[in-house]
Amino acid sequence: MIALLDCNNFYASCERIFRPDLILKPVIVLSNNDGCVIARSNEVKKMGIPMGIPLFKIKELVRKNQINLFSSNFALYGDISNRIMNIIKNDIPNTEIYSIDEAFLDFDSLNNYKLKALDLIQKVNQWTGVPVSIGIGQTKTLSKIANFFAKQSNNNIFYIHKSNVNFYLSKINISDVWGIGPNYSKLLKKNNIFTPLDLVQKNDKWIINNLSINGLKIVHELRGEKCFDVKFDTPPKKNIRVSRTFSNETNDYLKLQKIISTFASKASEKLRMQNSLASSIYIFIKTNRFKFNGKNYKLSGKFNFDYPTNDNSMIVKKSLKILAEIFSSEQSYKQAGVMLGDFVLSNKFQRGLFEDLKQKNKRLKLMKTFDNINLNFGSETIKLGSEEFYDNWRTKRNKLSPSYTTKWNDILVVNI
Amino acid sequence: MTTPFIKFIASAGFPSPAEDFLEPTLDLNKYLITNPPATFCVRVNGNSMNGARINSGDVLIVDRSLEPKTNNIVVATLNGNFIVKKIIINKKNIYLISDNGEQSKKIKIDDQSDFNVWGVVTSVIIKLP
Repeated sequence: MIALLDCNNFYASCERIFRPDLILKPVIVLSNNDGCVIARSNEVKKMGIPMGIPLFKIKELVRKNQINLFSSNFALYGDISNRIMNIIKNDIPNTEIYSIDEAFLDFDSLNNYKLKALDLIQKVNQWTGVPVSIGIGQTKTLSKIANFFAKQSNNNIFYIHKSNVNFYLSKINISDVWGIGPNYSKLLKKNNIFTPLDLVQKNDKWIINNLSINGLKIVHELRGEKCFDVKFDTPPKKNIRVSRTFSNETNDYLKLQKIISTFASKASEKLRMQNSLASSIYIFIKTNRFKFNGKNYKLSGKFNFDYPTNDNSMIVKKSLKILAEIFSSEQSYKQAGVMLGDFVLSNKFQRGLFEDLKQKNKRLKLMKTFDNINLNFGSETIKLGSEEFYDNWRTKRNKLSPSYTTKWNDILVVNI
Repeated sequence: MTTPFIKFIASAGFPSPAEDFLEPTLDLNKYLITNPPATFCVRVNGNSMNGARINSGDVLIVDRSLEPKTNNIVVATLNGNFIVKKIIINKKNIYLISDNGEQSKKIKIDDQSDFNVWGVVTSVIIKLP
């Protein structure tokens, strides 16, 4: 049996821990640059404000309903998330942290699922102040569906017993199934498949032809056969992406060079932290999405390294080369990103025939020193000369709450 | 909070006699915090709890996992505002007491008030000037 624990309106709930005056009041958390809605309290959901909508489109609603706005405070959300995951792992060691606010828990060895779930909900809520809900089912995919119902139940818990799986599968929309994206939902609806129940009644051959092997796995999971295990030791990431939307558009080439350098360096640091080497690098720059009637211009380029690497100066050099190829001064850019991919583990890579190993070992040593300095003296203590040193392009966060749990100067002050 | 992971630097002369007895340095976190995921730090501003040896500017260590017992100092929310008070719990009622030495004020919590204990204060950190 697998349980999915999901924090309710996580970012909004984190803000409320230190703002009890906002309990039962509408709260919205905005994306980087205060652009779009990325978390909504129940009160906001009831007003019909959708996820992802840009703030400028709901300005009037926000004013009229006195909605409380927050910039995203990832220092706070990350810390609260760690606390919650630690609480769960202490009780259920076989826990897979799936995202900042979700975890799959292996309930196989338990006798009383509901009792354990109730205990966890109560504990997380009391210890951290964050309300959570738990869905329980035979597979990960079913536990996700159970969680959908848990959110609507009054004790935040829902258990789908195998004898009535089909009843619940008929009650939700096909697009709400984990792993069924917008393209698949479109295709399925075209074929008169509107609920997961419609889908599980199709034969395997039809499914594999239309949805590929991954779709078939989802269907088997919906039928109660486990295809995805709870992975409690998280495997290293398969690609690393550092990207950001800027507060102001820019077509300044020098500025973009600095931004790309910073991202590439940050990505290579993350790469080294998980002991991987990257074989490819991908760079993109994007224009403003809301300026050209929803159309955006995305320019991108990719480079494959001869030998896998995690050397920051190498990665930065190649990133800048790609940027030089894709940059056009006719557009202004709102977003840029660097993605590293095709990883190999740094202790398992195949040596290149013409690789200068002496030089390589020297660079590896340098990287280790580089990382140690930043680890011991704070991140960004040393950087490459091509990186940005001033923060003016970084994100706009006008409504940022204090970092209550990570900075001494920001801790909650109570007037007594 | 430091754990000596590099053992003693190899000395040219005698090996250190302490090497086999190496222990981590005293850890204030361990001393002050029993349940890290449930523990938060809060600073107070004001003098209404001087009688309980809590002064303006002090940092309170607050454990949210503890059940409040009578005579505990708690951080609580009353009608949406944070307060720090001594709590008295008896069979019928809950009282909050502020105590600045000379006079103590007692508030009775009734059904009308929106009251929640946020956490129990377990330590007070005072930095001397």
